[in-house]
Amino acid sequence: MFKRMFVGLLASLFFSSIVLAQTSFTGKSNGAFYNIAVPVAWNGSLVIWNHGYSFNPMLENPPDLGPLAGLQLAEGYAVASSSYSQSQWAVFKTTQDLQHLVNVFKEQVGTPASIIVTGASLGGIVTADALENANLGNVVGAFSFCGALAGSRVWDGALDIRLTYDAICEGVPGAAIPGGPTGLPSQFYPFSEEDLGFALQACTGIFVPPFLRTSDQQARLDQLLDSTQLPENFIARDLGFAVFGIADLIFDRGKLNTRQGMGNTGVVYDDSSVNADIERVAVNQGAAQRLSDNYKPVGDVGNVKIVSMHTDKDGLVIVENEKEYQDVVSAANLTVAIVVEDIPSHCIFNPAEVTAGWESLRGWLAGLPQPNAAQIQGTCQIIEGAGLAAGPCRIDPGFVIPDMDARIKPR
Amino acid sequence: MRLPLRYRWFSVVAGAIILLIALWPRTAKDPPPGNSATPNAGVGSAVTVTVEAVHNGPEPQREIDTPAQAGEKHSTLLNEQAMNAWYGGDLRKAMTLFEQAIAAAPDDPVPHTNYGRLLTVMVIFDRAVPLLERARDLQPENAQAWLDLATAYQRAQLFSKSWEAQAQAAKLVGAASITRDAQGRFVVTGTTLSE
Repeated sequence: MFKRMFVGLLASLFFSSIVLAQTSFTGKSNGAFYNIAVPVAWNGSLVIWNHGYSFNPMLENPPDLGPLAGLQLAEGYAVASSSYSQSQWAVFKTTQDLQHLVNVFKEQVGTPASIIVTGASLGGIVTADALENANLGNVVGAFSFCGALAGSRVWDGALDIRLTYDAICEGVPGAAIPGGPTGLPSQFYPFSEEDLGFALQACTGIFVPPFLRTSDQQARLDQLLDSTQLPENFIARDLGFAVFGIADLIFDRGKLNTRQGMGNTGVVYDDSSVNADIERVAVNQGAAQRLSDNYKPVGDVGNVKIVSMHTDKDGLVIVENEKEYQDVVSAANLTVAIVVEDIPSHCIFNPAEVTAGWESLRGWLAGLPQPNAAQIQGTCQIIEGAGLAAGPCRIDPGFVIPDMDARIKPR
Repeated sequence: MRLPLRYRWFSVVAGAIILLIALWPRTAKDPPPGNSATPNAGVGSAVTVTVEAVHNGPEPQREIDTPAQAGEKHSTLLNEQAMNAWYGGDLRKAMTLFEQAIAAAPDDPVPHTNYGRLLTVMVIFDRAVPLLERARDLQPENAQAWLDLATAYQRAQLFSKSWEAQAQAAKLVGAASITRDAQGRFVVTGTTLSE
């Protein structure tokens, strides 16, 4: 069966580079833009693509169909995506957004025989939430890469970064970021991305080469890196989430509505000076529950077959997210494959790796045994060797995913 | 008609003045560099104007910048100042100077690229992406321009676009020539980007 699928993949990858006839539907429904593409030879299945985190409302119109859309359309799948009706941590409404998307699909195209939900980064938790709560129809499979599958717990990590910055950079001229545990003092507080860059530069000198930093800047940067366990090329990005993302999450009326959903009372930080100096904030239990509800996976995925991939040094959505997801989803439903990279990235997979993950899921759905990481690596090497998609293939079947508690202290 | 003698000296002087004005070299009228720029003048499309002074016999030819050339020189200077400000840690000043450099030479890919890279590391993707797209449009055969864009798209979580940009770069230099630097940015092997 695999040989037959591989021949099909060969043909599909060939044809995916050619513009095939398809029908497209775009528009807006219930506050979100949608994009639907249906190939002429539709196989009856629908792939839903869930995009990643966007600081800007509405992202693109029409929303992107995902990096595998060309291949998926060539394989006969219809592909659909939603812009989501919320920006940033959009998970408060994404189940409704996807329901509206599927309803539009049914009206315009017909009821799909089966649905495969896919997504990356924030799109990973949107996917996980959809499997457990959206009742989209006959959902048979899911494919996530670099997914924030630990769900709302990632915001504890963001709070730690936010307050660790304050503890380390307090008193440094030009380094202050107002707002502390609420990210900023209000949702639309006049503090821009530029201002954040200026502050971070003043404290750490991170935007200039190391030899141009002052010794104090370098010392503060080193402490920030040690305390947060983040790669240097992620500090600015993570702090952006910790400032603007937390402010949006807490102040948006459709989210936590000014309530503090994350706290750090009682947390013992590894860095003793940070532990002594960091601001302590109590969590509002109601807000914490609302955040958990939107969303922390519980593993109620029924018979859905899931393949999930991650890069091992991801500094934004850390690889430990996969362990959290493994802890709640049955091993019979979930295959995880970890790509070991030289330089930390968020979601930089080679095309052959992601294609292998997708094809492995397809094989599983078609009746092959559940794939493991070694088999996905093997599939990747076949795809790369045949010149169908660029490698190299870096999946390490022996990779042991660390526990989230070592990176984000439990609370 | 002959002028009275008392007016003849006047006509000789007046004629000499007119001749002097007509033949006076135009050096004093040269525009200062960077005072104006031709927005649509493409890089390399500027025309060199030569002026030959005739009042005193032939002189060596000297070049005068077109507005576009003057703009490019001004932009180059501003770009260098912006880079110095960046490396000096004055990001606010660097951003202002990059914007001035781009205004002086809207078709120069260099300040677009450098400013786009600065905004990318500062995580200001919604402003970095249009700059890097413009830089790419100005030099579509430059693989690094595609890769700068691929990095910005990737960090803005526009994964499909990042893949497409990487593929375009691979067409130009081969996939094997594409790597990532210590900051995680896509680069053509051997390329060193500004911090």
